[in-house]
Amino acid sequence: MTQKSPDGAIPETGQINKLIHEPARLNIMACLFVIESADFLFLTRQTGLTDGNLSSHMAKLEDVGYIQIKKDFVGKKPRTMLSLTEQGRTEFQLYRANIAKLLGALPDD
Amino acid sequence: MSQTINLKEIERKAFTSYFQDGFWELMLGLVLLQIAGGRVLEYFGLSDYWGAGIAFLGVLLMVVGKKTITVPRMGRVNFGPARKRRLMKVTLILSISVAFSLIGYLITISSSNIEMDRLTFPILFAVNAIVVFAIMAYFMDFDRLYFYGVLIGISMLVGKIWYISTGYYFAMSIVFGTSSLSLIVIGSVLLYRFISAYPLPAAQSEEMAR
Repeated sequence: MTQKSPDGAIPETGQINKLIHEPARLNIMACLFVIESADFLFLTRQTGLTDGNLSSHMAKLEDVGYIQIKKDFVGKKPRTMLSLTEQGRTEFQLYRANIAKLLGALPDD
Repeated sequence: MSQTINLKEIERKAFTSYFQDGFWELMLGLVLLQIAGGRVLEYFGLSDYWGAGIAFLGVLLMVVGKKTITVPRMGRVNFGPARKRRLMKVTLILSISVAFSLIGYLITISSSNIEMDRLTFPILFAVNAIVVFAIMAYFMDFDRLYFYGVLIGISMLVGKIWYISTGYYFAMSIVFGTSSLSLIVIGSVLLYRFISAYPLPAAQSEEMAR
C-alpha cells in the first residue's frame, strides 16, 4: 500500500496510505491499534459509526489484510471479535510516521 | 469524526468508558453501608453477617451488573499489554492494602493503650483509604476514585472524632450512612444516564459484522 520512505526523508503526499487516511477508517485503525481486540458493538460505540458504515469499512480493511475478524460463541450468542493484523499494525505505524514527517516539515506560519 | 487522533487518549477513553455505568459507586456505597450499619445491627442485637451480606451484595451487584447491563450495551474489549500491566498493579496494591489493614487492625486490638486504640485504627484506615484509592485512580485512569478515597477517609475520621468527643452511639452510622447514600445516589444517576445513553443494540448489529 505504502512505499517506505528513507529514514528522515519527508514522504510525498502520494506515499500516504489512502486506505488508512480516510477519517472513518483512521478512527477504526486508531481504536484497534491501542487495544488487543474488540467486538463490533464496542467499535461502533467508540468510533460513533453506524453499523452499516462500520461494516463496510471493516470489509475494506479486512480485504487488504489490515484487520482480522474472528467469530466465536459466548454461550449461545455469536460474537465477532476484531483485531489488527501484524501487517495492519505495521502499516498504521508507518502511516503515523509519514504523516508526522509530512506535517512536521511545514513552516509554522 | 472531527476529534483529534491522540492514541493515548483513545485508549484511556476506551478503558474509562466502562466506568460510566455507576456500578463502582453502587458497590462502594453498599460497602460503606455495611460500616454504617454496624452499630445499628449491634443495637438491634443482629449478627454482623447481615452487614457482610450487604457488602457482598454490593460486589455481586457490580459483577452481575457489568455482565448483564454494561457489556451488552458497551461491547466487549481486550486491552493491550500496557493496560493489563496497570491492572495487575492495581490488584497488587489492593492485596497489600488488605494486608496492611489487617495488620493495622491486629496491632490496634493487641495494644494496651486504650486512648491510642481509639484513634490509631481510624487514622490508619483513613490514610490507607486515601492512598490506595489515589493509586487505584491513577493506574485505572478513574478520576472519581480520588474523591471517593478522600470521602471514605474523612468519614472514618469525622465519625470517630464525633463518637469520641460526644459518645453518641450512632455517630459512625450517621457519617458513613450519609457517605453511603451519596455514593448510591451518584451511582444510580450514572447508571440511569448510562442506560439512556447506551440502549441495547438492535439484533442486527452482530449480523452486520459479516
